[in-house]
Amino acid sequence: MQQSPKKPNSGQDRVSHADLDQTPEEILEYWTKERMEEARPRELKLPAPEPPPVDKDHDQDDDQD
Amino acid sequence: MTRTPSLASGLLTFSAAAVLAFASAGGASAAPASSGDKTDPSVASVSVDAAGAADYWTPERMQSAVPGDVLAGKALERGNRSNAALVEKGKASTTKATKGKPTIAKSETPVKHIGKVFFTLGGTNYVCSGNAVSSVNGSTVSTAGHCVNEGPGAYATNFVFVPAYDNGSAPYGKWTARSLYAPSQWVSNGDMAYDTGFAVVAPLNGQNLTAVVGGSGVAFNQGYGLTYKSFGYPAAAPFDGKSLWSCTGTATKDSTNPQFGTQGIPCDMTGGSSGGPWFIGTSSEGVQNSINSYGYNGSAVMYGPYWGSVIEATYTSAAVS
Repeated sequence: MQQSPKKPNSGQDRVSHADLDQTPEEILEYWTKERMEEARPRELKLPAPEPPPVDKDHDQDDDQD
Repeated sequence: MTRTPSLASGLLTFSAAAVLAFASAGGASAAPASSGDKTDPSVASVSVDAAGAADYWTPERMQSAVPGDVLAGKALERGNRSNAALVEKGKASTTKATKGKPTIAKSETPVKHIGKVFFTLGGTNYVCSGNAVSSVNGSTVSTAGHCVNEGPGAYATNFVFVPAYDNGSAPYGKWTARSLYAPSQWVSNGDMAYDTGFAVVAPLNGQNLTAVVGGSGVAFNQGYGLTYKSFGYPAAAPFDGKSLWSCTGTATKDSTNPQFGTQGIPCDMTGGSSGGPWFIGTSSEGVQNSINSYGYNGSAVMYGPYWGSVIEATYTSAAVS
C-alpha cells in the first residue's frame, strides 16, 4: 500500500523533513523482488559543457599560414 | 545561488540504458538457418536471433543446462574421426586478444554499512545508493537529496535501505525509513549545491541500524581538493546494479557550473550510484564528506556537493531525531 508522507516541514528553516506515514510492514510488502529488479536508477545528468566559441578570424589566419 | 524549479526538473533525466531495457523486452526466438560458408566450403555456419536467445536464457534454464561435454562424448561414440595424417595444415597464424573497454570504477566486495536504497517518487520506483552514518539515534542513512525528494517537490515514499546488497541478497536485512531529511534549498529550489539527504530508519528485530552494520564518521566544512574514495551501485550500462563499485581521485571544482560549489573526481559510475558515499582518503573506513550527486553527458567525472554548515545542520537534525 502506497501512502503519501505527511506535509514536509520546510518553512524558513535550513532543514526540511517529512515523517513517512507508512509502517515497516507496508514498505517491505511493497518491495517485491520484481519491483526491486525493475526500479530505475535515479540520475542527475547535466548537458555536456559547450565547447569554447571558435575564433573565425584566428582560424582564417591559421589557414593562410 | 538557486535554480528555478523548471530548470531543476528539466535537468533530471533517466539513464538511456534503462529505457533501452524496457524497449528490448519481448521478442521471440527464430529457428536458425544453416548454410555453408561462401568463402570456404569446408566451413559451416548458422545465423541465429540474438535477441531471442537472450530472452530464452532464464536463470532456471541456465541452472538446468546439460554440460557440453555430454555432447562431445556422444560425438566420440559415433566414431566419425579424421585421420590425423589427413588434417590439412596451413600457415601459422594468430589473432590478438580483444579487451573490453575498461572502466575507471573498480569492483568492490560488499561493505557492511554501504548499500542500495529503493524508493518511490511520482509513482515511479527508483534505486540509488546510501551509507549508514554514525548518529545519536543509530539509525541514520546518508544519500543524495534527489533520492529522498524531487528537488523541488514531494518527498519519496516506500523508502528502504539494504546494506551490503549483493546480487539480490540482503545479508543485513531491509531497513525501512520513518522520516526523510534534506536541506530546504534542495526541497524548495532543487539547488545543486545542497543535493544531500538523510533517512532515519526504523529498528529491525529490536536493533538499530548502526548496531548491526556500523556507521561511518562524518566531516563537514573541510578543505577543497582532498582525495576521496566514492562508492555506489551503478545500474546503467556497462554496469548492472548488482554489485558495489568505487572510484578514487583528487577532487577538483566544477568549472562548468562553479556556482554549485561542488567538486568532482574521475569516475564513470552511472545511474544508481547516486547517493553513494565519498570518504576522505582511499578507504571505506574513512570519514564521509560528500555523496555521488551528478555528472555531465559524455564526461567521466562524478560530482559531489560541498558538505558545509547547511548539510551539517541537516545531518544533525536527522541524527538526533
